[in-house]
Amino acid sequence: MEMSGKTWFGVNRVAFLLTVVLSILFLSFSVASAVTYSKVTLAQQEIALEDPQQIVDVKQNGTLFVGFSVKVANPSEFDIRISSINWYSLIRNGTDADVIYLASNYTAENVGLRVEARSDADITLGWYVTGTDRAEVNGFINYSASIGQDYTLLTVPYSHSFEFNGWLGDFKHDYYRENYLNGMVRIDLTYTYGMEE
Amino acid sequence: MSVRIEREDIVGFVLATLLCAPPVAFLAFEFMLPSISFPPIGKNLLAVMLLSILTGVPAGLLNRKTSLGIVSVFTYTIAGYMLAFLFYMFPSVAYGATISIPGLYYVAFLRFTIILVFLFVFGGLIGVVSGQYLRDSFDREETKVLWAEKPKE
Repeated sequence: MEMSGKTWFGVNRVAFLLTVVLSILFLSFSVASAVTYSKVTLAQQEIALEDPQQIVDVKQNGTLFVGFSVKVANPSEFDIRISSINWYSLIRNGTDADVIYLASNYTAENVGLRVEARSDADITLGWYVTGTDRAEVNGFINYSASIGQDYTLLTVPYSHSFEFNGWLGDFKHDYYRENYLNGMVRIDLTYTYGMEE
Repeated sequence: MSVRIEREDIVGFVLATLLCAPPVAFLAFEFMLPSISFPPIGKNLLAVMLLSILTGVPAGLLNRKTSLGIVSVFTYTIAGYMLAFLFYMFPSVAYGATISIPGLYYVAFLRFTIILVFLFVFGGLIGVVSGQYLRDSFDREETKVLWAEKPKE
């Protein structure tokens, strides 16, 4: 009859091997998790707004159309679940803090909009400026002309503020109790033009 | 009576510290970043407790002396946390990325890990005792086999 278990480091070999397996298993879990964590961190830094453009058009009936388009570039391997898109446009009177609000557009949460992984999404928002707002734009043009600055409806210095918010991938957590994790998977991109005083 | 520590004891102690650290590292990392960890334990404290006991068993097996086994629970917990910190820094170290949640380690670990440390140590101590029982059982079986009367031919 043979001895049941020879030893490594004074321990039964089977027990020692199981210990090593346990250790390697958890090391693998840790590395896999750390790699995912790295991908998420990198994705957050790669996702960007590109090619922002202003759209200004005067329709045949004289209605002014002000719009804004931008591309959300998502080179990461994760989808972005869009939670909100917010844009507004205004004309800032250079002489003081007088501001003429022209347009705004807001997309709320839970409408199912997504930016697919490894793809770009073009977002275009616009607004027809009519009535009192349109009259204020004309007033701005006339006032500018009186102080020697000639503008047309197409060349008025429209200011834009665009904000894009979303969540990266399907990494769900408790957004209130585990709010320290929000920063890791939250995508907040902003673009402003002409908003400075 | 003084306990003499031999070379084999030190080898067992070091091995226990190194081999038991990865489970602690994963559990600590998972507790901090549960949404991206695999497999997801989801901050389940019962699972953490059971895994802490399981982690302590090898420390009991590898240490001949119970006192060293108990000390190794503390050393592998510390080593595990150091490893977890490395994994937390992984995006920065491996890919040169800026950690998107700076200061999180200090805040989250200090906020959430008091209970974790208790579980690691408490579960580890239970595991060490279990491991020592297993080791004794192996030794007894070995002695029984070695000293068994050989059948007459």
